[in-house]
Amino acid sequence: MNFNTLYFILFVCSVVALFCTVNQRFRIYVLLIASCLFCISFSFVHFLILLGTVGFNYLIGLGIQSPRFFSKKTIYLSGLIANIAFLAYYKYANFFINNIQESLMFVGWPGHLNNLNIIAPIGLSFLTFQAISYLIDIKREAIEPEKNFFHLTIYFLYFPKILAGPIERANTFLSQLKQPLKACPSTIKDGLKLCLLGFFKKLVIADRLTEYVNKVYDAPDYFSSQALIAATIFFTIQLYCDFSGYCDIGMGISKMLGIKLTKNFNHPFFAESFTDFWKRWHITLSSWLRDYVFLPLCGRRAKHIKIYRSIIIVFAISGLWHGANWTFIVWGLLHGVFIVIENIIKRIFKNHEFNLIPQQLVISLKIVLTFFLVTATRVFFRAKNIDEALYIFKRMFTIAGNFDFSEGRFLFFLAIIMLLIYEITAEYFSKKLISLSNNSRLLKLGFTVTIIALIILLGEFNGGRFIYARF
Amino acid sequence: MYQLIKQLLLITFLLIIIDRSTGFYFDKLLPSVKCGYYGKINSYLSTVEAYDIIIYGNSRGMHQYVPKVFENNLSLRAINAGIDGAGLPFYKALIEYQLKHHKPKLIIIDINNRELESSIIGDKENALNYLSPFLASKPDLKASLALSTKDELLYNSGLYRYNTKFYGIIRSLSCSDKLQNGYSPYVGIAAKDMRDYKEPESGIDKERIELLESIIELCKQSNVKLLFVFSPKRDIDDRSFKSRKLLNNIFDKYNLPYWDFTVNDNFKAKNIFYDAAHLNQEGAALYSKFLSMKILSSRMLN
Repeated sequence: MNFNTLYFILFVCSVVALFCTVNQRFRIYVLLIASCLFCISFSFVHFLILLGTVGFNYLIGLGIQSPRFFSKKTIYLSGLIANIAFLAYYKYANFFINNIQESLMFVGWPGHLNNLNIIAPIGLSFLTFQAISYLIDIKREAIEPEKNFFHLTIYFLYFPKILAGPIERANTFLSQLKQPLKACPSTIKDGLKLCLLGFFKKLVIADRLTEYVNKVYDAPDYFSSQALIAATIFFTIQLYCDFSGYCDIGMGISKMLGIKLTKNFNHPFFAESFTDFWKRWHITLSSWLRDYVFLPLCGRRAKHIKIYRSIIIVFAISGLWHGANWTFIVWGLLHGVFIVIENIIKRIFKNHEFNLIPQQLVISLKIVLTFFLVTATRVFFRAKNIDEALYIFKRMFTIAGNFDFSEGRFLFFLAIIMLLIYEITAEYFSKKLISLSNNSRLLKLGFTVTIIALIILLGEFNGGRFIYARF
Repeated sequence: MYQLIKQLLLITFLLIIIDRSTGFYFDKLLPSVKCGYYGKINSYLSTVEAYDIIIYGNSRGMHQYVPKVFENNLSLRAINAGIDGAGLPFYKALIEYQLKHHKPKLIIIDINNRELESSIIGDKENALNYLSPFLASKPDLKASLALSTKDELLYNSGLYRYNTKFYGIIRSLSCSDKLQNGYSPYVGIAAKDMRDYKEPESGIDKERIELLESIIELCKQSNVKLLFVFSPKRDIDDRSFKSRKLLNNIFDKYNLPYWDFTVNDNFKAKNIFYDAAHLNQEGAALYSKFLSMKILSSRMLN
């Protein structure tokens, strides 16, 4: 049951209606049952596996706080290792097998290693990162282990976030479950608006651009430089609208159910550098990596080389987390390298001031440069393998031709223009917009009706799953 | 909460008004579309009673059969109802509609050796892409497409019915049509051919078998002659594919005539092909003449 299906919309309507009608103390059970049903809709066996993982982390959490048979450290480490091993088995086993196979072939070993026939349960990567941070926070005594198993189950399996995050921290999420869950008309309204925005991004923009991106990337041999560059730019926009659309829908649903999820995006296309980009893109992942990998690796007072080394390691992990393929690792490393370069440049020109060029122009140039560099790294994110990515780069600069937009170009550009209007308004004129909409009910109403009508008129309703749900 | 419900009801009411008026506006506009795919379907649906020979097919139907050549050689009125990427659900809907209004002398279906493969374009979704704007004015088509309850509900919406298609309709209002009784030529030789001509790993679509059989049954019941033709391909021989074997079984089961020109000595020259699977303008004229003469000599229309 993906977010972009009619069944899911009906499911959410029923859950919200039930949530609003039942007594406040039973609302938590509505969330629990809805989350379990949502997981079961994908696979009952996977649901049991996920429930087992929740149970395991529940016990480890309690064990860390009050160890009996083993030391605190042993319990903590075994918990961490088990979580990582579990993720590695489901997500990376075949990647490791293939690489071992290739290495052995390289040294002349004639044998063959078979791939494992496994499918990872939904949202496993997100759940594992949450489980790791939960255990680390307990070990650091930043939080108490959760005593209520139902609460912990909701934290891990909460349906608006299980598929692709955001990666919530236990303290912010669980503390909300301890408070009475309110069904408030104003939050329902806000939630509905977020959902609409998310569906618009996914159905009208992301899935529309997918047609062209897939056409070009499925057969790069047949397309020219222009088409490959356009498809890569479209893919960057598609990925943003797909993922942030998912997050908006998740946040919106959650808001209606009285729980606030962490914001995962802050208009990343207006980032002025790679460092800024990661403060705006998949914020919960970057802050997770900062708190649980980067800071433990180099501490707060590390010198340059150690910091740079840690940045590269963090981004390699980030790449590997995205998928079991060398393309993702290279993509992550590239981002790491760009951040290191930015840091070095900043250090060199720390005491220089460039007053000759107007500040606005400098900012605009930085935004454009960052966008194009981020887009260039997306070739690795989208290509099937490293060879194909390099081949696409080569073709991007060598094969003249046209864009091959065919019939759909009007809709592609309409989608992009609408996104640009939204992003610019939200980034630079949000305060004005809020005050304007607060003063005019008619404007709000007109906006809502227009968005729904545009989704129905322009949306692509046969688009696939959300991209990040695969990770 | 009462206020919220009131607002939701108001939004729903406004949406219904927008939905109905959009549907009404485009339904009125649709008959004036004279070119493009919608123009072609328009003219087919409005002139269905005027033709003796009707040719169905996907891109190989649309670009390879020249009705004028058939008309000259057979002295019967012919129309090409083929559409790029159409498929059995599309043919079935149009044939069923056709037979309700008029019985032609011959229906020709250009069929692909791989027609039954699930990976080949031409499923119900494709048919709906072409036919959804016509569902309100031609409700017969709805029944032929056997819509699910969900689709039935969705296609009642004017906005959904014209989802993304409104642009093609508006654009087609001002264009000049180059179609000749539905035939649209491929000119020259294609710069690139992106099709995959290998046998796919994906299986056979059972729904397509049922659709093909129902088309055959329909024509039998109406006593209309049905001819399946496998048109020429260049340097491709996909006759051994599983889909083709199943097609042969179906034709044998119904004792139906079919002509196979997939590999034919008359159609080997490179300059008559647009790409490996499509004849160009010259090739289409040659092929149409060849086929019409063969129909004539077979005396199937006597």
